Amino acid sequence: MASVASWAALALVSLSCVACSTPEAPAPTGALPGPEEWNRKVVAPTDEVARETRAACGYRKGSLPAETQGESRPYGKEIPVDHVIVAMMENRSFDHYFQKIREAGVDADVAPEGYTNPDPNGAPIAPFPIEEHCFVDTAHSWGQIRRQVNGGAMDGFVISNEGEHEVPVNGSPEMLRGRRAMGYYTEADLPFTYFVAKNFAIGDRYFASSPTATWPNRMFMQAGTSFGEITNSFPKDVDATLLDYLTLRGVSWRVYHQNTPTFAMFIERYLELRNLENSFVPYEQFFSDLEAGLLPQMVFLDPDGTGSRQMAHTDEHPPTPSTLGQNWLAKSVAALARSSAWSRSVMFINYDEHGGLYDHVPPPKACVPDDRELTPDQEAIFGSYGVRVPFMVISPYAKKGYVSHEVYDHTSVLRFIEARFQIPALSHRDANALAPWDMFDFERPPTPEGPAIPEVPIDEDILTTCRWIWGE
Amino acid sequence: MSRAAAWGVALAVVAATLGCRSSTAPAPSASGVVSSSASAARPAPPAEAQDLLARRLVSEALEATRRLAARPSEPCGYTEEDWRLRRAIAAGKALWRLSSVQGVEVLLGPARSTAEAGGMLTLYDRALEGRQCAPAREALRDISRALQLIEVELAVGVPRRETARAASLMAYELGLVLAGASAELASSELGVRADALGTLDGLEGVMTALERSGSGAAPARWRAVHAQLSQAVEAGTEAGLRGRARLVVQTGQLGVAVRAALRGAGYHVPPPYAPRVAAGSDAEREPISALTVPASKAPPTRSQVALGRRLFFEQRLSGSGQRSCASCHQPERAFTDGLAVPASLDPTTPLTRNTPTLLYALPQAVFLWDGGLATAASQALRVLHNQAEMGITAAELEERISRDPEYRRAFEEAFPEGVTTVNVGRALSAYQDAELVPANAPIDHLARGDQSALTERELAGFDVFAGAGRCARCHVPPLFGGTRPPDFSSAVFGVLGTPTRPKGKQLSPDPGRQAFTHDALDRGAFKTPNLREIARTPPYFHNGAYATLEQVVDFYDEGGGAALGLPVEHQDPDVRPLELTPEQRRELLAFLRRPLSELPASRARP
Repeated sequence: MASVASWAALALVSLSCVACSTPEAPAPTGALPGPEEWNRKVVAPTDEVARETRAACGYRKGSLPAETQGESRPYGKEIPVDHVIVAMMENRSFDHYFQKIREAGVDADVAPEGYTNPDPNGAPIAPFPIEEHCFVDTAHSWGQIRRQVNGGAMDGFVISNEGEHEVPVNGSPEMLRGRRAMGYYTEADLPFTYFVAKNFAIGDRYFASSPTATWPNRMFMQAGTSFGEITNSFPKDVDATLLDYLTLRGVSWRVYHQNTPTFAMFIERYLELRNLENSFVPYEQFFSDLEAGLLPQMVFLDPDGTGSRQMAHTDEHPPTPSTLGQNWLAKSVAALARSSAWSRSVMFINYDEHGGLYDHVPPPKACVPDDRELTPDQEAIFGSYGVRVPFMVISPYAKKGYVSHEVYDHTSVLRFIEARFQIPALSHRDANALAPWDMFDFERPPTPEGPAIPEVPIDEDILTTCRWIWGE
Repeated sequence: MSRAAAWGVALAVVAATLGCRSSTAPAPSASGVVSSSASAARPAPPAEAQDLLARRLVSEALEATRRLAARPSEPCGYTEEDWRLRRAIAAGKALWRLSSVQGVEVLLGPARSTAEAGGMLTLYDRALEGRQCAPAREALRDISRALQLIEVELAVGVPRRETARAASLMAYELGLVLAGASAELASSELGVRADALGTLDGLEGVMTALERSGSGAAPARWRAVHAQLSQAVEAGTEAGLRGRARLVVQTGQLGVAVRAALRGAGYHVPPPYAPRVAAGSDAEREPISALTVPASKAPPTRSQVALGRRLFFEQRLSGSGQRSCASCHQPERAFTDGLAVPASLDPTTPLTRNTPTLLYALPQAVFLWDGGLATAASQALRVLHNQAEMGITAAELEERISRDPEYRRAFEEAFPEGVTTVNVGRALSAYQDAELVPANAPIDHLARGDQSALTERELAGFDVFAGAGRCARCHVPPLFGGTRPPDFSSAVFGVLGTPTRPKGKQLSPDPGRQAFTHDALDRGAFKTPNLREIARTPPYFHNGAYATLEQVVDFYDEGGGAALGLPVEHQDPDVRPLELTPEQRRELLAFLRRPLSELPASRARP
């Protein structure tokens, strides 16, 4: 499990430092680039000890994956993928997307018969197939999520959404009724998501990292912590993000984005890192890089969530109809599957938070990510996961039609990346996260050719209706 | 690891370290092939006039933050530089919103909803006003970071067509600022002046940019209106602007002129909304300002309205058969009951909240004192089913109505589904929509251009309402309540610290919106009620504890519940000691009484 760098890596590390004339000392002989302690000798704990320690939040920021995952887990180059791709989408809950997945033969935990939420008059509302494709955004601030979770009863989704947010230009006040939060989509609405669930692996105990809004959750994905932030605000004193550690480790990375990259919430880090050649690039370059065999080791695919027209967004954030994001994801995955990178790749698709839509599984307790002093609100938010969200693993090594029941969050994906590239934990949260090992079968030799990914055209009828309702 | 992958790792180090020194070296890739085609430089969209304007305004604001950051951090308080910062932001924000989401959200808060916090400009304003130097400095730092992010986000370009729409909305926004009612208003009058001047700057910049790109633009009448408004705003002082109601009406004319000029340049932009009562016959010349009551969003049919009117007075809608909607919403009392709280039909559950007027209720964003329902139809049904109010179940209701052949016919004529509980709610809502939003008070006549609709004293009262009294910050026109135009879909709540009786030493025990949201910040928060018909609808506040408007004005003048020594957590910062002069109080009361009261129907169409 100890890391051994190839001769090529070594030779070029010293070369690079000369070229750059940075004061950094070359890495010690026989080691991967990066700080010396990243290459420390480790004794892997038994799987049992590792599991117990993680459950007790016993690992700390800085711990290497080899020190926390258990001796049977692969590490570094033992993980047979060279390209890790993450596409984080927006604001859909697990039940809202997968309520009918069992009918497709995938055995996931969805809201059972008899699960209802009371409406403001006390009448029970059961999950129902929602016909609206651009319903009014549901509530997902910390206060509202607390009402939705309601101490684990998971019964506040209707009342917390009653009267929330604006009536669309050509909509009616009826569109603000809280019952919309109990709507689910089916295979007809989500052809890509269902295709992935049937052909690759999904997780049905994957939670948002914190029961609050977008930015904190995206910070957990990209830095293992939100640096104390519980709302959409700039974090202070950001010491490191995954991109910084990848850079230190000499791992190539690139953010392909359609509009403002979500990494921009780390504004100072972003303004600096975007000066790196070929770092933040237009989404279209993903396709040319794949064709030319130029895909870097770590890839972030950022859908459009900030353009001035909501009905053109690809991030699936309500009220934007899912059809745009389904098309966007299918296009991206199809290009990957056609490329030379496929046989040594894994793509993770996750959703930042549930957006206020119903889910029946109470979020479990989570490890507090850092040592800062916490207000009672922060304690409640950082000591718990958020509501369940869809999680999909696409790879030649992903088990087909598999459903993982392990508890995961965004930092589990982070931990996988750290394990592959031998990077230490950015916070106490990812230090104690389990990477989604059970969703892979690394023994299976990959086929050089990827599977055919079905085309998922944008539903123009839906789009026309939605543009009219929202006045776009 | 394959050899190729190893090369990749190694080469990436080169990239990382070279790149950080802005080298032009080509980027390597994981497969070891050096890329020459890909480039980090995104294709620069052609810089159009509106792009250049948007970027210039960011630079101006950023420059101001840099100068502000350079000054000593203590003591702190507003300076000329802060007004420049506010003015630049007010000028740029409508334009920035078209290309920037993340930066603008941090700077100003989300566009409409309040679900995800933000709004550094407001935090900065409050911190400076309260002379809290450390928080002010931190907020300034975040303002600067947000502006840097906006600068980056603007690289995608500002769409020209939406810029034209923004120009029309800026004219409307100016009216809201002048009425002291916009969502992001500065806390002081000099700040409001900066906001108004900034909005005027932004509008002028956008119009100039668009006219340059259009052809054959009409002679710019908007410039004349703009110049008049600018002159009036420039004259504003620390004590606030004078003659504000007429200026607000003038922003309606500004909007008309702006849209006419835009048409000349090839952009057809609709007004923010249609008026409930038209001022003239030409829709394009309707002066839609912050004082204009909106038309129905979905006008009901005549048969729905007639059915709703009948149901409204129908006693069979109550379990006991002895109450109708009109028992508590009495037309002769402006659709209230004159009581502190109505009598309960359920001896175990007393009613604790004052009956609000139904006049102008329908266009509200939310219903009930705690804002717990989204539509007038659902509000009606809530009352019908409540054991303490009307006490009838859905089954009973449908059965009783179905038994009456005349009702059955009327329902079948009005709705395809015939008699259903939901349709009872819809019919009651249709009645309110058609008949209880008359837009026939003196303030409405002023909004439609009747310069003599308000007396000079009443106009001075509007200045107090919009300025020193801070009333319009929550009682937002044109409804003069907690519903924000031009969308009429986001609601305003406030924590006042209302006691159980005037000047009482006991805080009202009603948790208000907190019972609904479970949020500590919402303890004692209530929806801001509409002030339309306020003179005819005593007693006041959620508990009906105040008998006269004079008592209410005193309560606010003194500074709300906190000033009475009550333990109010999170009292609304705009509820603070006002120090109104006796003359200002008299003017304010004069404005609250006649201008907001409906005129006799005979004056409906002057």
